[in-house]
Amino acid sequence: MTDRDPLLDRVIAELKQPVAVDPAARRRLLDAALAGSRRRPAAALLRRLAPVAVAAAAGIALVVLAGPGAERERGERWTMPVRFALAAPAARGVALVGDFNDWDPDATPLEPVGAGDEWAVTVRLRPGRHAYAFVVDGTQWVPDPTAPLAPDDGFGVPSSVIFIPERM
Amino acid sequence: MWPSDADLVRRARDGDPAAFEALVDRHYPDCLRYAFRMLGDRADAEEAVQDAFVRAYRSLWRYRERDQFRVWLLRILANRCRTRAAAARRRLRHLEAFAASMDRTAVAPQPNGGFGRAVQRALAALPAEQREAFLLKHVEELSYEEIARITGAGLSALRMRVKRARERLAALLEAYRDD
Amino acid sequence: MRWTAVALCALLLAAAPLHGQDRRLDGRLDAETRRAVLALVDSARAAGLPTEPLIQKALEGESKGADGARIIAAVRALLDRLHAARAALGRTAGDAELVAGAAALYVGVTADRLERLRNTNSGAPLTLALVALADLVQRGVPPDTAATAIEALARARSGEAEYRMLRALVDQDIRSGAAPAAAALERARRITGSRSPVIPPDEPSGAESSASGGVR
Repeated sequence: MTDRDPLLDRVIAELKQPVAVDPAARRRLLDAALAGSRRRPAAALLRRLAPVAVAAAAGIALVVLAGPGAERERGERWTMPVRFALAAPAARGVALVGDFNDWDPDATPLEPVGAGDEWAVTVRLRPGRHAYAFVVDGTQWVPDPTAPLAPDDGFGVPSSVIFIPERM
Repeated sequence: MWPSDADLVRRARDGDPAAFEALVDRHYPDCLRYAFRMLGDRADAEEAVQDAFVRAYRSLWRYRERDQFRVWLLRILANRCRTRAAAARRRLRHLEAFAASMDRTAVAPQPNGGFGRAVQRALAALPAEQREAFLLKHVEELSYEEIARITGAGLSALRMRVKRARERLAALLEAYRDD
Repeated sequence: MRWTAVALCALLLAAAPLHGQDRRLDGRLDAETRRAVLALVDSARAAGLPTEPLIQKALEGESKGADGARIIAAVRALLDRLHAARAALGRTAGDAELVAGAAALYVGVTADRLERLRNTNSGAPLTLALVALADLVQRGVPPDTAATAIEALARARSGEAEYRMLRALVDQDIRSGAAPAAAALERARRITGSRSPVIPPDEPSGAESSASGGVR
């Protein structure tokens, strides 16, 4: 008992607070235990193995698993959906590039919205700091006018920064 | 509690999925709370708990009714948490180093009552063994004998870990003392 | 389909040695650049620094059309700044904080200002503050002044909304012709609700006013 220290009593009371159960997590648990097969997300499986190689293979795992149910499989960590948008009325195509898609201009094209003055896409990002930019018509790099700037690191081409807080 | 854990285990072993589901519903909240307090990250905690229940399900045949199911399950979960914490989580390593420089680790009070977050940060600053012992003793309210069965450590070592955890938490959260 | 994916990944993992390989660089960097970058990545790993930002920096450079030498230089410089950021921000700083700290160092904020920022902040992650800091400097606010403004917000335990407000308002003020330094200090004062001016350290309180014409 901690009746000698009221501060610790408060700490313990705080720690005894329940943590809300996510029904999806409960469902996943039951599926994993009762389905009989190892339907653990590949990313979690990879994490148990060579930690260095995870970085390489995880990118591939995400691409290969994309499809119905990928939403659930992709996340060994919580991600937040973020909508990126750019006003580019005269553009033929706009892509999003950043440290979440290996700066690949083919990975995340934006779709025209409505009459086509605006282009947008929603991606799920993990908590942390992410650098990104838009590439218009395959050649013109445009930072996000609504976002903080990322230093150009001598590449001479601007980028933007977005910060995703931890879900807690 | 009716049916007892032992009844549910027996039925689950016999292939009744609803019985296992009932066990999950009964024990998941406390397991999640423990894992979250140990690991500090919700997604990690959910995965650790999932791993633990999956392992528990697969080793139900090994569970002996004289053990309390909860203690047996917590042993599996505590192992999962320890494995995760040890697997090169830089954040946890840094927080342990953080705890080593105690004069810097006092957590200042936040005006809008971030006591809960302060507590979690202070907890995370403890070495894993102390955190584990403290949670099992004071939050899960287990006896030292039960904790010894879960952790494999000796009784006096466990008492010392809990004592040190209490001292350190009190020091880290000193600023909240007269709140 | 999932089993195929898992098997595929397992094969790839089996093929990769434990250290020094990142398949994402294959096909995007030439062999020499790749070797150099991976050596820097190994060096980061050995020092306990995050490696992913270095990989991303290389990929960013490739994507932006930089040549091998420029990419290697950028990655090496980032590694150096990560070291410096960790020295200033402490070993408990997370990856995002270190990268944001490295960015702030790149634009000219000094290590001791980073350390001072860490000390105002009572342990909360500094990433937001550091991102806002680098941004202010890139908009023209002198590094020390920007650090002072950000410290004021950090001391007031500001959240995302306050940092965003600071950035937007300072940007707006600058576009309307205000001097960046004055704009940053004034907006920081107003956002934190402080009644006294936000004074940069080691400067007599008159200096900012005379230089920029307006810190009350």
